[in-house]
Amino acid sequence: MSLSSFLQFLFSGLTSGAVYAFVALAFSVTFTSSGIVNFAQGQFVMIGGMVAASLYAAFELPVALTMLLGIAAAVAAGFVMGAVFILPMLARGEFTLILITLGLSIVIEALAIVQWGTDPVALPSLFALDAIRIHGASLTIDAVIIIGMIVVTLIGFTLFARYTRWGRAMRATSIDPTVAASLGVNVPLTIVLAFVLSAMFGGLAGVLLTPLISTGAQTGLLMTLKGFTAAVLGGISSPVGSVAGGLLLGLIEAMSTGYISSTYANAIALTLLILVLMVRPDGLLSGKVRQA
Amino acid sequence: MSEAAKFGQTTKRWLIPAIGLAAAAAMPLLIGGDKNLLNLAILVGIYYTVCIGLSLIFGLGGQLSLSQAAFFGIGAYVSALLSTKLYVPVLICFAAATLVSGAIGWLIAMPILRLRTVYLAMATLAFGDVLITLIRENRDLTGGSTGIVNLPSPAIGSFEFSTSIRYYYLVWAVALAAAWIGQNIIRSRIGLGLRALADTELGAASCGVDVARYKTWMFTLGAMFAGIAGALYVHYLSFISPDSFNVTFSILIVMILAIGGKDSLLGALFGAIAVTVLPIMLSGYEKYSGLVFGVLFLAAVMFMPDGIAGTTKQLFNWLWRSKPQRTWPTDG
Repeated sequence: MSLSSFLQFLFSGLTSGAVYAFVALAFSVTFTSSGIVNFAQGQFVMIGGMVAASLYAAFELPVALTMLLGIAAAVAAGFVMGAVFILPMLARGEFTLILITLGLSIVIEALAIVQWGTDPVALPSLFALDAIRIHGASLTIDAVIIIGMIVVTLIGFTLFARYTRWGRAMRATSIDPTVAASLGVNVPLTIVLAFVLSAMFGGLAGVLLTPLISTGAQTGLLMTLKGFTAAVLGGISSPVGSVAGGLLLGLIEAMSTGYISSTYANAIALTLLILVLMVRPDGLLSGKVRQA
Repeated sequence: MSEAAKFGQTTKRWLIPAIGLAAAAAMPLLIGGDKNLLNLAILVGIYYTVCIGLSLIFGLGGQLSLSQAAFFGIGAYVSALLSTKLYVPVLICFAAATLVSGAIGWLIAMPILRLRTVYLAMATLAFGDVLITLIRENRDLTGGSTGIVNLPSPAIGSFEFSTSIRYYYLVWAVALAAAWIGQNIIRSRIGLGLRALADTELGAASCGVDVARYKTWMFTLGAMFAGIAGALYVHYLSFISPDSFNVTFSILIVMILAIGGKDSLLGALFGAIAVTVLPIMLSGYEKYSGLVFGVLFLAAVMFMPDGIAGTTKQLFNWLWRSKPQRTWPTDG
């Protein structure tokens, strides 16, 4: 009984934690490359999920294809955001840029409500497989996929950042944009790339999340808040830290819900966050902090 | 400094507060007892008071705190509980709300203000969220999500601030007092110190600015302004519930500063007017009101980098063909 319920809390914590981790990783990518906290980050999750689900409902396309199209829609939105709204405004300073992302978040949500209404929509599972049962706790295939994907994504992103030309350009920009530019890094393009990548991570989270719990037009802001909390908890300047923060946040919430009370789960997670920040002001696994 | 410049400054120093006072006093006469407009004017005054606090903490000191909503809520609940459970006279409740908000602000300022940039924003946001949960779950004391109804109106002796017009004057007396305190701080040595530490804390500290103390004071003062504004708000509505103080309100306060301009107290006022009036104007569009509001906000941020206040000032300078004003008056 106690082992099975513990495992159940563990699985549900890891699942929601994996979603938070995607958003947190996306926060980290744009923050380290441009110093911008992208308040529209959660909207990419919403775009990915809603586009995939509405395409599935309208044309009955294969689920995998709708998922790819959902991610593509999120990537397109990320490109437009980076190239049209952020790039021309880079000289304006971080506060204006953050407010622009906040404005975009409001606009994207409003557009989604106009297009889809506020009712949540669902997507069928990618594979028709039964849930795995371990000691009486069940783990759905969708949960396995999403937990697996965050690990794969983190490894992929780390390899990209270490060994590719563009990845190294991003890391150079995050350490010092001026020096990076003087060494031949195309800083504006790198920033757009960061937005595209972060949108891709968000969209991926969205399409993987929608079969588990339905997505609605108003999911975005919640995802922004959770992802930001997770990123700050783990250390927004470090991709590994952000992902760890996401998983940890999911676990804390699930364990608090299971063992204490669901109404206090969020408050407990945030209290722990404040306490962590008192001891580690830059998050648990902070890397080198970008100086403003 | 030349005589003319000195004169310009002294007139300006008295002119703007005088105009503000006269405008605030004459407003009810101008709108002629229109209940809806008066209601908006009261809300503007309350938002303005909260935003003056953030204007000092963030606009001047560069510390992005998202806890104004929390202090607004603390003030509101302190006053609501004292007046309904212990039957304390409401004006004394207002004073208590201000003091308790200030005290809590002072207590959390020390640990929390060590954090920088996004970490500070997150910690202050988290503080607010935890507080809301505690309020919502302490049902016996706070009434939970349903809240408390029938809050009494403030009164001096038998004179009750029960009509909109009386409440209007009460709210604006508080708002203008807060603005006056804020304006004096901006001009004072503390204001200079805050502006310095917004640029570089290390540099300010090496020039003798007591960084920790200045930040703590400003945070405490901002909390007090938010606290009294919260108390004024709930006793005006005569109703309190935790939903008024959530993250949406924190974001709204930041939006007010962004639209109006964070570099002056006038900006906070313009922003407060914009966010109060705009939703009313958009209410006819139903389905698209959210979209229009979002687009307008985005446009304001992108095309008016210093907010309405900054753009107005530029327009003024352009119309009068005068040179752009320097931030610092220079001698000679």
